[in-house]
Amino acid sequence: MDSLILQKRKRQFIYGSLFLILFMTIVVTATMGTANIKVLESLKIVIHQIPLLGDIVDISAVQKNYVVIIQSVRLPRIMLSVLVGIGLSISGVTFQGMLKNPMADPFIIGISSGAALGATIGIVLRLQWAILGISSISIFAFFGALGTTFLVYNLARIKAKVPVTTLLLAGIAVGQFLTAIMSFMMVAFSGDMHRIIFWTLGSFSTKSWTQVKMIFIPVLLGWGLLRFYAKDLNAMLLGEESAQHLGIEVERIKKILLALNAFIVAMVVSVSGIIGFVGLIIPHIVRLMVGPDHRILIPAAGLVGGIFMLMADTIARIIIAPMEIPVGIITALFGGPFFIFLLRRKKNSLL
Amino acid sequence: MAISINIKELCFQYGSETVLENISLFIKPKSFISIIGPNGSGKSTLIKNISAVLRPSGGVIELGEQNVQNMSSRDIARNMAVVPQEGAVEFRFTVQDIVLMGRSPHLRRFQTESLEDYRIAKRTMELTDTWKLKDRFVNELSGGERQRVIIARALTQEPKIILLDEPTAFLDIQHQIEILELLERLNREDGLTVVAVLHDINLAARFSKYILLLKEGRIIAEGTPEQVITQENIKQAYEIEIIINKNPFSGTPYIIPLKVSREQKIIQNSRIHVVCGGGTGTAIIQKLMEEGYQLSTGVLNVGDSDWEISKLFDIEMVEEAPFVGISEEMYQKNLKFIENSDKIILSGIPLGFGNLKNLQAVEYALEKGKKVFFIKQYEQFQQFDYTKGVGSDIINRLEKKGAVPCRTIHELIDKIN
Amino acid sequence: MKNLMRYRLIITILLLILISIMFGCSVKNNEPIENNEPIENNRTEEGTQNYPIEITDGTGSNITLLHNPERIISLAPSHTEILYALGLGDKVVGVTQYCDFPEEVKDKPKVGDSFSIDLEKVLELEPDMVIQYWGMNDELKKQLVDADITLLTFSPESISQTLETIRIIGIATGTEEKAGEIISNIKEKQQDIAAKVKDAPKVKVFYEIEYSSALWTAGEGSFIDEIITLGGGENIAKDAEGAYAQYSVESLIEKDPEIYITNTFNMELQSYTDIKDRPGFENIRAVKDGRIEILDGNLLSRPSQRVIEALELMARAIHPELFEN
Repeated sequence: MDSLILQKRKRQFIYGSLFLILFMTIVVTATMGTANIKVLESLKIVIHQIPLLGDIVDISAVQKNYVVIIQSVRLPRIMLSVLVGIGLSISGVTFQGMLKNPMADPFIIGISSGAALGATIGIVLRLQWAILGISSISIFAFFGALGTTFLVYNLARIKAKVPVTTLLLAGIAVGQFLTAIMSFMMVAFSGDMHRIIFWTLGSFSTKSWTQVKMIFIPVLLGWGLLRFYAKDLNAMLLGEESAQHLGIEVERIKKILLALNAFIVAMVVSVSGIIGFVGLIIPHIVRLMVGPDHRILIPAAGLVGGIFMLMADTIARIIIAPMEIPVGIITALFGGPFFIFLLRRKKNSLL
Repeated sequence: MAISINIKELCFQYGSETVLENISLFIKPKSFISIIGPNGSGKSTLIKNISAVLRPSGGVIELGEQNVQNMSSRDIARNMAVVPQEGAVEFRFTVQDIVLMGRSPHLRRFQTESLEDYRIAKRTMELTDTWKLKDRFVNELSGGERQRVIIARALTQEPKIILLDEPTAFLDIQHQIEILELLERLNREDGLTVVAVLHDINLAARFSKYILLLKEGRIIAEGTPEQVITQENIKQAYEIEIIINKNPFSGTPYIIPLKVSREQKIIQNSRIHVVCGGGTGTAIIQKLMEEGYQLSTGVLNVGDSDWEISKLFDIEMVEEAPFVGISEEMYQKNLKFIENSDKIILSGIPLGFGNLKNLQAVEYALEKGKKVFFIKQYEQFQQFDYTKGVGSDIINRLEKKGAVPCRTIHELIDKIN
Repeated sequence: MKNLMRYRLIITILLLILISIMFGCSVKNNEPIENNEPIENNRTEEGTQNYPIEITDGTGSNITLLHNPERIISLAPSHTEILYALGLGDKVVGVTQYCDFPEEVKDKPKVGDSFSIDLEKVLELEPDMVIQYWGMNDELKKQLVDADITLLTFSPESISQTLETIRIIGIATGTEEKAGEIISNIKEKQQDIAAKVKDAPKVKVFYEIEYSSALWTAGEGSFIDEIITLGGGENIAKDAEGAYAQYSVESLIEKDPEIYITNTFNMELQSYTDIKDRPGFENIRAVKDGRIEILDGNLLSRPSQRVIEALELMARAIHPELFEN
């Protein structure tokens, strides 16, 4: 069958080129920053960082603080933004497919409100401890996100089934409620207000390899697992009944996907705060490019999300150097219009 | 390996509303069953219970030996495919993608489709006349095309049983017949068990071997098409009056819906006698009944459709055995009826030696001073005259003697009122 | 029919009662507060001002004062400090819950904080003057205006603006002389410090507002920036703007400050050693030399007469060798 081979070629081409773009973007952005490090030097430092390969290059001549900047400040930030971009976009894809709702994003079932409230409590309580280098605020945010998912899920389910509409509504209701509590706390503890706001704005600025190590495995593992369920997601797009008729255990799959996504998003949000738009827009952009088949969509959306987040963060930290713009603003500013542009070109329905 | 469906005392409730009550049915392998009934009778719900999308409130459905509720969706899907009522897919999947999804019950999660799977999909697409659409996007298709694609997908599952919920709803005539013929063929050649909810009683009668008639969640009739499709059953289920003919092509019952059953009230004072036959009087009789006239008809041959309708509506009638011509006895009776009526109608009956006497009766009516109305069709007249002009002469005479000609039935009714 | 008429009558009467209640309330609100007896008639020397006077507040609005204010509410901790410094402690009838200097303030009635004000409480205290830092919404403003309460707004961001604020509040409250004293005192001390640091080499300084979510500093034009400069330091974040600027960690490391300063509020969440553990920070001179200074957050955030103390604090942190006492 020609079409079989053609499809395979097409897929390989897409993955290959996206991966290449991601790699190039990482290399290029590694040479960009507010510190005035020469391109060649930054490349040397980056290569030196790679295990095994690294010893080829000699960086003894490079200024010590430049090495520190790239190795300890820039590179972890780059890797983190890529991982967060992947996490947000693949969960956006999954939620949109699972809920059959083009407006769904990773935070739709109240996860962001839960995480924000968790972080607020963490900030207000002024706990000093950190586990394995992870601050108590991050931990509270993580559990806030997971707890909210658990709450929303239980509110929405009827015995063993979770009707999609109820899930969405419960998510909105719980989200609003938690946001209200957070706002109240912000006013009650208005001394901490600015700190809370800074957290919710989202940033990769002060992050280190600790955060990268923390989410590296969860995000990549989650990515693989979600891809595993791609066929099920495809079938679910036909409607829950039709999916069941095709042999998909609809309720079980919904639960698994929900848990998986909640975990990925909770991880991501706890390290980087709440960065909007990526999880909503990237799935649509990629879907317009490669179609609705989740078997291609999930890998592709992840890669595009990683590239996009990396570029957005690079802009955020360069454009008004040495000051930085919160990255969530960049994602909104660029994501929105670009999506409108794509939409007008294709003039097709959203899913 | 053939599989049967055994439905034992199935009950289903949506909340507190009982939708299905005490349904029991054994569907042998290789059956072709249609489920018919008015809206709300529970047909779709029955299908959904069989496919395990819904859980029965009472009773058990077994697929083979197993309770369908205890089977995994995958196991069910490998044996049974479902074509739902609505197949709207709003996503830009290609037709081929959609049809290939029918192979998923047979594939492991990470397994991609093999050449064999593609071959199977190609075959079902060709069978459903959708192969030419294979690269089109499914959300851009017409309702009928989409329905055929869904059917192709169901067939791609290579099921032993296929459940269909109004599969012909959006199809145009040729595709309706095509699909049902396809199902019939698969049923005959491959032993595919077909259970289809159909809204078209005639199609159900034509293609299925067994029919289930549902009303308000209960089975009110089941059996062969001839057994189920009777005037009483249909009246009970749908509350309409019908005439049952035989489909000349398939030999199966063919219903003609007449009107919704309603009480006929006689409100007019005059009696009208309708001389008709061969189905030419049916419309006139119906309209006159609606207007509330008291009617009589004659002379009609037994088995003639006008005879049927007179029987159906309990109209006083002069009847004669078929093919023997009108006997003197019946002729006299006819004249009596005419004498008792105020107005006489002669429908556009074809003129043959067998019913010349009817024309003469009409002439008699005129002589008696009754008002006579008749349907006159100019151009086709000659074709209707099998009496080598004798009949036409009588008609001309009638007109000269004062019978009122009408070109259409409408005109006739207007003039009578 | 009779029942219907009676019913209608009752409804009409009820409606009339409702309407009159509503009218009565609003009428009440519109009456000027006549029963405003000053608690004590503090006829000090300074009380002999020539009212009415006109002043321009921090927003540039011209405000006319008809008489010496006797009951003053402050809506910002810094304004409270100023009022007390001017000797008006007895006239202060309401403060925010964050006002904590001087000690006596803690016993004063609280009316909210800088962002949310309990209007009922404010009106209950029957002030004739309210001094705010941030603007309030128009609704609240209107209420105050209707109650004949003078509203002054001052938002000083620098030392000179703070001194100006003190001066004008002085005029408005008839404490001009005391205000003048405070101002010259501050100016003198400021000149002292300037003289001391004039010839000392400028020390590269970085001030951290917050680090946990992102790095925030005070850039050019901010109060912190001013006192760093006056204190003989060079704010390496000068290329940022405003009182709250998100700053690049890379730039921080590249610019390599000699002294790293932050405040006590920020450090409530972290410890000293945490700064050393931050990625890239081990390379910064200030961290290597252990020159990390944690200053009193309160002091650094009060644009009141204590600005001079803030300046002293900063100068001492930057040039400890010049302030050996």
